[in-house]
Amino acid sequence: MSEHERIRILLPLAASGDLSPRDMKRVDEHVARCASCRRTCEELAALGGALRALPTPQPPAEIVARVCRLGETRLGLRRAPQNGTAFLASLVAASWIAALATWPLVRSEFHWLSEDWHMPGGGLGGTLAAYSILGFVLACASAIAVGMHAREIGRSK
Amino acid sequence: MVPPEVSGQILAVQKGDPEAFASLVGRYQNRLYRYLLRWVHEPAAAEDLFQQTWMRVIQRIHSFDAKRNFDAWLFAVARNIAIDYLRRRRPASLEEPVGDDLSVSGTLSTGAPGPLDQVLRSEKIESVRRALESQPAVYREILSLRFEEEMKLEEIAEILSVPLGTVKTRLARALERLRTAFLHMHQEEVPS
Repeated sequence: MSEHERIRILLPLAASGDLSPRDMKRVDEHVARCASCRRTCEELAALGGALRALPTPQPPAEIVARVCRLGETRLGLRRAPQNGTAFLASLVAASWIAALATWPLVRSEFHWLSEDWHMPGGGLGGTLAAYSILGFVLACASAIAVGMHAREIGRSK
Repeated sequence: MVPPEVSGQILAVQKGDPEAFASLVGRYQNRLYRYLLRWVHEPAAAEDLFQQTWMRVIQRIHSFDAKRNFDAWLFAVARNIAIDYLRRRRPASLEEPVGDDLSVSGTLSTGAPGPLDQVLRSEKIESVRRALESQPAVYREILSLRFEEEMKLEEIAEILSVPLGTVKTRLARALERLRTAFLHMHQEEVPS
């Protein structure tokens, strides 16, 4: 392959400004003495300029508005389950803590429970455990019900 | 690098802020639509793909690292959607023409001011647009990314998921094919 042919291969990238300085120097030197390559290089550069000058088509405003509306809905839906999960977890934790906190009251008011209710663990500790588990289960059930209700509302939007 | 205001918008969208999403759409709407239109030609299809692209962005933006190049990521998402669409509609349109000679054709060049000079000087940009549209999708894409989007070759390589050398070869072929198509088109239009 002659130097002329090698340079011609480089001309498109020279015209787009994507050659290394070394290759660009080679092209410049060749183009200075080769009219054919000079013309081609100018044409390619002119085409590049024309491509840059092409008018930019714009999407219809209603499409952009629709995309923004859909985005708002989807982002809202995606955020809701995250918030919902945190809410339900805190609901369960709060219920459990409430169950434990009310234990002294339950014990003083219903002291017969510890005497009459013979738990496998036995005595006061077993009753406390049973009461706490009952509080936890009820809290979970409430959280599931609230979560399902929220999901139904989300679907109907 | 991503401009700070864009990074902020991306982070806000990741947290689910609809206003930040609308700002991001507004910032990129023209460029993204133009890129998709270069792929599919038809405005109705480009509008559909435009919407699909943004919905895909919402799906995946939580996994986007805000330090990365958002432009390249966004255009890669759009590219995948456009390719899926064309695969279903016109599979052959995605193929890069084989046997393209990289050597620049000189048969249409003469010593006198050529038709290309005259046409470009007379601002007939429409002819360039038609010549561009006559090119295969892979060439339209790379010409659009390099000249309309003014992207660097490295960014283009990231979008196309190909080595830098492939980008250079494809760009050189695309530009040369465009020149040849333009010259042929103009020679047919102007009686000698």
